[in-house]
Formats: sequence, structure tokens, C-alpha cells
Amino acid sequence: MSSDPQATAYVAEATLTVESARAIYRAACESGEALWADVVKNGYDAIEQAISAVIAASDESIPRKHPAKVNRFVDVGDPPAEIEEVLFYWLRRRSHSQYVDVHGGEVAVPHTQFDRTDAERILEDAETVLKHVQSMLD
Amino acid sequence: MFEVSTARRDVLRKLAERDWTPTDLAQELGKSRSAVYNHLDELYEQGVLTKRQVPAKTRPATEYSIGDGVVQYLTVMPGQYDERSHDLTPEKRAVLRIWGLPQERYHSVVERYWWRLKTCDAVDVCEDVVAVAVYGSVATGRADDDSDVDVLVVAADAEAEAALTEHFGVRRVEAGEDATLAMTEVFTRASFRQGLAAGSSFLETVRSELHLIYDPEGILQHPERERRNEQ
Repeated sequence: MSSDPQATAYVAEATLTVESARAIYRAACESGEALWADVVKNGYDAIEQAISAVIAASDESIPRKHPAKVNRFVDVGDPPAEIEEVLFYWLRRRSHSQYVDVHGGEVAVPHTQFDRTDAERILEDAETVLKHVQSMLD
Repeated sequence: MFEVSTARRDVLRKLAERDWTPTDLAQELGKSRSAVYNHLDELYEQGVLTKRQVPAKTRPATEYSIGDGVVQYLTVMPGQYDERSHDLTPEKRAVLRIWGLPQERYHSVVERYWWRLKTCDAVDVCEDVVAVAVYGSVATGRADDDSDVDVLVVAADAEAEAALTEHFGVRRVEAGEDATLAMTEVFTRASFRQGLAAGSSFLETVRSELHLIYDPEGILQHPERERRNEQ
């Protein structure tokens, strides 16, 4: 992997985005407001920024579409199964943190789709992906 | 059920013309006898082909035939989609419909997905899967290099929905040298009906662009009927 300035910038950005997700988590815990979907949204953004660093370091173009970004990372980064599992899990749930729709006859809004456990899980997963990416780029 | 790889499709194409012995067919296709024999034997084991002994120079040879059942596939090579006069099983129709996807590059990807679905230990297609369709850019022929394959699956019940989501929610499908991501949205039949009745924006959007793969009960083909049933 090359030490592409774009890759370095993506890692820095991912680190800050994880911090912002943590800040929202802390605010939710302190205020009692269920801001878990916002933690998930920011956590997923951090994951995407982290994997974009690896794609950039591989001199590949970074796809705009979310699934293509994950797929390109798996192609160029050949991550271990547990990282791939994390990416696929959150890619699948990502859209639920963005859109309001009807599921099973009820209107589903992002803030009812995620709970504190999900928020804690994505913080942990984003940290894991970020560490993995940093180890790849070192 | 069987997987239709490119090599196997070549074998089936030749069998559409006439019956073949493994030796003659291998010579015709320019492939090894053992490779062709393996394809023929697997297709025979899966009930796709019939075989019979025919007289040959020294001793009887085995000749393979597509019989009546599989000729349907062969009338429907890509670009020649026509199932009008054939009585197909839903599984055979699924393969045929995959070949009807507008961009040929996705045929092998969706074939592979369908094969994985049918051979997955966690689900039984006949019992757990009510319907399967492709939607989005692959269904409408607007897919590019960065496109994933979007699949809508209607599951029989919540247990099947959970298993299908776990195994197929996001999956890399390897076909040839490339791997494409397949994203599967799973509904139970009940939640599909409820979503239609309640005006789900997702279902409203995708219903106009569904490319049916497997729909033996016609629930994707006749969503209005499903909506009425719910109301």
C-alpha cells in the first residue's frame, strides 16, 4: 500500500467521525434522548471513510455507491472474515438509519430502528475497522 | 435443480440439436471427454437428461438426451426469451427468467445467486421462499461496473425471513474473475402484503421495475391481488 495523502486524510476523517459518534452517544446517555440512529449513522460514515483510505492507498477509484465501496474494499484489501462480516452487517442495516418507510404495516422511522445496544456495537465495530485499516496502512 | 454454467450451457445447446454420446460431444465442443462426461452425468443425476444404450462399433455406447423436459431452456437462449408454449416448473422458469435479464453480464451472477439460494442448508426454496425478483439497475438494464444486484425475496414466515436475511442480506457473488455484491431485502408474505396495503414507498418504487425470477404463486406478478387480500 502506498502512503497516499488522500488515504491519510481519510483515516484522520474517520477518526474524527468516530469521535462525533461517541459524542452523540454520550449526549444520548446524559440527556436520556434516544439518539441511537444518529450514532449508527455517524458510525457507519466512519467505517466508510476508513475503508476508503485503503481503496485510495491502492490507487483505485473510490466508488460513490455504498455497496460498491464495500465490495471494492474487499477486492483490494482482502480483509479477514470478521471485518467482512462487520461491513456486510452494517451495510445491510445502513438504509434503516436513513429513511422512513412502512415495514409490516407500520411506519418505521430510523429512531425506532436502533437501540442503545446497536449504538454501542457500531462504536466498537467502527473502532475495530479503523484499527485494521491503520495496521494495513502502516 | 442444477447450475447452468457457461460450459454447461454449451453442452445443453448442443443437446438441443440432437442426442450425443460423451465422446462425440467432446469432439464437437473441443473439450476433454471426461469434462463433458462429468457435465452429462451430473445433469443426468439431477433428472435433467435421460440416457440410453445405443449400438456402436465395438460395444454399446451411452447416448444422452434432453428429452422433453429441458428443451424449454434451449428455446430461450439470451435474447430469445419465449416461454409461451411450455409447461415449465417454477425452478426451470427461474433459470429461463434469469437469462431474460437485459444485460448478459449479470446472467452468471444471478444464476450463481439462485444456485446458492437453492443449495443453502439454512433454507428450503420450495418451503421457505415464496418469491424472488431482481429490481434496480440490473433489472432495468442500467447497471454499470459499480452496481450491485438488488434482490427482493418474499419468505414464507418470520423464521425463514431471519435465515434468508442472515445468509443473503449482503453477499458477494463470485462469477468468473469478478465478485458482485448482492443486496437482498426480505419480507414475509404478511409484511409484504401489509407494506403494499400501507403504501410502502420502497415497494411502490420497486414494483414497477421488478424482474421476476421465482413466483410460483404469482404474488409479485399480481400485487393488487395481494393488496386486496390484506385489506
